[in-house]
Amino acid sequence: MTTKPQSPPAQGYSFFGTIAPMLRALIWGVTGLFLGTGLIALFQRGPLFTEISVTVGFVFAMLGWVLGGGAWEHWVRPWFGYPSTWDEGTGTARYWRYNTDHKVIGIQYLVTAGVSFGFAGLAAMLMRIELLTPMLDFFRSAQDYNTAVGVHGSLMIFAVAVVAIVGGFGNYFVPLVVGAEDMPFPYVNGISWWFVIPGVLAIALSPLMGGLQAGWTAYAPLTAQAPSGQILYYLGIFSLGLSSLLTAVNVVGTILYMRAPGMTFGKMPMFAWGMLVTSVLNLLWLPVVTVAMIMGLTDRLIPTSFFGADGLPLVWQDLFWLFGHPEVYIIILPAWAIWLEIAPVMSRKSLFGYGWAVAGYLGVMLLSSFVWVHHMFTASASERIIPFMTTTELISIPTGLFYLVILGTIWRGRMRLNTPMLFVLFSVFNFLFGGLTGVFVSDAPANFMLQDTYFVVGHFHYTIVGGMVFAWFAGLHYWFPKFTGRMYNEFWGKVSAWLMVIGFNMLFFPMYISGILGMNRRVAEYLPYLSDLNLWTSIWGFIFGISFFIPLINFVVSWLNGPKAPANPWGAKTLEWQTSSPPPQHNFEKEPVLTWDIYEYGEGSPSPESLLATTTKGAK
Amino acid sequence: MKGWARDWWILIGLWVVFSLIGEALVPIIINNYPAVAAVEGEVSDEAIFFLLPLVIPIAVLVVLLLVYSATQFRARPGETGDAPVQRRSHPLLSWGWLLISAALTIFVVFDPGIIGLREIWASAEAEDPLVVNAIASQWQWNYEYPQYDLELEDESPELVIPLGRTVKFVVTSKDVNHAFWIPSFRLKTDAIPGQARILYLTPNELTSTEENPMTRVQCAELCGVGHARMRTAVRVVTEEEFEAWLAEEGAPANMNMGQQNQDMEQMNIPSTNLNGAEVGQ
Repeated sequence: MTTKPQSPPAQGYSFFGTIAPMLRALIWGVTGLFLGTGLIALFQRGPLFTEISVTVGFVFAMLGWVLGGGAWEHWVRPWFGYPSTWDEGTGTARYWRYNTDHKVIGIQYLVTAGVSFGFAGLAAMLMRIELLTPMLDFFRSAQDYNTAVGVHGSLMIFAVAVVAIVGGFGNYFVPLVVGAEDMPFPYVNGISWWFVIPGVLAIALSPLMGGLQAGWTAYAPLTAQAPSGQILYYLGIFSLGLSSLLTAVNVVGTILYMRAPGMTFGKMPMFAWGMLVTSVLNLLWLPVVTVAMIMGLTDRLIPTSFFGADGLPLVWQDLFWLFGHPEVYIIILPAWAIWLEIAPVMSRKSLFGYGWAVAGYLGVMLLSSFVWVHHMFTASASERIIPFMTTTELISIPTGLFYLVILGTIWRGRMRLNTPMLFVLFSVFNFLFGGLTGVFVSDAPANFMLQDTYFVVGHFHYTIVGGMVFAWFAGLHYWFPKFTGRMYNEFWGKVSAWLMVIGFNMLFFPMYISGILGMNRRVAEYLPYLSDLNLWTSIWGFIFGISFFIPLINFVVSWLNGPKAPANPWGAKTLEWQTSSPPPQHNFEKEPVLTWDIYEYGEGSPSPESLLATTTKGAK
Repeated sequence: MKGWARDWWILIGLWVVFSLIGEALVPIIINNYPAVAAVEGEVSDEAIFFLLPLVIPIAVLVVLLLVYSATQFRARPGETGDAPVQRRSHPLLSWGWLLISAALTIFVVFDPGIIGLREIWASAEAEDPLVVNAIASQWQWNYEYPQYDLELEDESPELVIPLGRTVKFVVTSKDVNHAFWIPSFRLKTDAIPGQARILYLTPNELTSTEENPMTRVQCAELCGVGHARMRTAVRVVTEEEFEAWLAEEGAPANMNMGQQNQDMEQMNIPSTNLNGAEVGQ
């Protein structure tokens, strides 16, 4: 099962040669943009950039970008019976072109999510600078502040939270953990990442067209009077939704049909379970929001009358949250999967209560589709409150099962307190407060007070940043040797984990208090009696923001120069560690056969090294 | 004592101690909680005060389990092997965990959830409520007292309401979504164009924006560039002061139309009652 590491970049390496396909994609994309806008401008005899021309231009740009990246040679040509002339590249060149290897796509997603995270985080820093003082003094206008809010929220949710773990780890590890050589539709998979970039760019560039004025939830009818940047929100999220949808098809396909022999549902890794239920939720609910985006767009372009003043503005909220709440679990289910993946390995103790974790996944999956109205308690008619308050409170039951499983796993283990485990523990800790404050927010009498205040802001940052981002970083450290074949720096890893958890709690905990004191959301100005809390929050916000540079530097330096890592540095028993680091192109030298219990640890259990022999034997 | 039993007893002991410390903090939090100035708002606060002592033992248990495991069960230098083999399921513990969490959850749905809602909705039965139409537009609130044939049309009018009388706020919007919220009264409702939302609030404290900045009308739903500044001052006055204020504002004295929904009928828009039944039924 040992394989040679990936071959180094070919002789005559040149930077421009490496990134040439992406440059071509960019050129084709920009050409498409101007082709689309130009055609409409000619047709309308109007200015080059109007909402309708930019929409058509965006579609052309998206096509040009995808085809220019290599889909033309690799995908379209074979449709017409011509052989593909595309070279998927080797070494780093693979990442800069249309590539069908799920591991390459996973890295593309991870890096994109990281860059989006940095950009959206920068928007948050600008917001915190503005909120240092009660008056509007940093941004030129409240409009600019609203744009920062909208860009921060839209990118963080749609380009980071639902992309980083699902797109990044999901693409990279789902085939590896189930012992498959790739995903069922690798060509579709290769395309999926290329839809992320137009989405991110549309949202990030929306300030050029007046920015986003209605936040990441884009409630109608405020959107009707917002500047043209609003259409970039619809287009961007449409594009990002398309990408997630294609990924979901592949993830479900891989898990259902491509598991290694011997891997029954009852022996499937936690990560596969988490990705399966997440992707099912994506398949069910992403189409709803994607269509809602088109309806919102046509409301402005044609105009149709779905959500405007002559339509039903509340229907937008229903459609948005119909996806938007399952989406919260789309964000956190993979994070829980990472907890349960790392905890037994680092605790050197068998996973406790496998069946209960599966029950938790299925329970959350079912219930999460029936809670969305709790975002609308103050907007809804009263008849809807009680049933949705009930389902919302009930979802804490399956959520609690994950706490049962992880705490049962680490109890009386022999815990290696390294960086991944620290991040897992911190994620469990942070999510606890996100979850428990959720009990307050979901209680309707309390919700009438807390809705649209900083209490809610604190609550969902505790779940998404505290829960998901910390789990993401746990995964990034845990799987770093698998991605790169090198080891990150443990000392700086631990420093960053501690700094982040302290900064995080110092930053977000006071938001609960300021919310109770009457600080409402999405304001550039507030009353002076709230200034101390906001000053504190801003300062810790900057510290929290800066702390992300440590893992960034750690990853970059370690990737280039870190010590070589063995194939299985943690002594883990899941399949992704039973191959070389990074894995060869088709993941396993021989098709693995699962003959052992992947979560069995403890004195006397088979050593990880002995598993390989079992695999080979089984493969005969 | 066996090792595992020892760990359990220490954990339970710590849990009790820290939970008690946590519970001892609850009265301090409640005493320092911002003052509430409406009867219905007290229901909201009571919900929070009820849930707070309930979640403290849960939070303490989980944090203790995390800290105890990370400190007591960490691999010491030289301990490279696996942990001793232990059970991988514990039906009693797991079912207990499930049933207790289910029982707690279902309990809080009823109390403070449904019971609290019923208490809030009970204000709809109040006799002779003062009707105030709160009409949102970008970016101001306009108030009408239809029973007194009074409209406040200033750029930033002061909302004056009497102590102890239930106010029936009829909230709507002329343009985009807004939300009507007086933080010290706690409850809020969205203002939605073309629809009316009704919120009953009974001030039970003489207060004003000058005394307490939380007693202000604050738009709580993003409504554009003026969102942050979309607020008006509030003054709760005695019944006599209220009569005097009405006279000062030019309203005919004691001209109570006695017809609560007249305002809505004039506006001819469907209205939904946050505090219960459909209006006009």
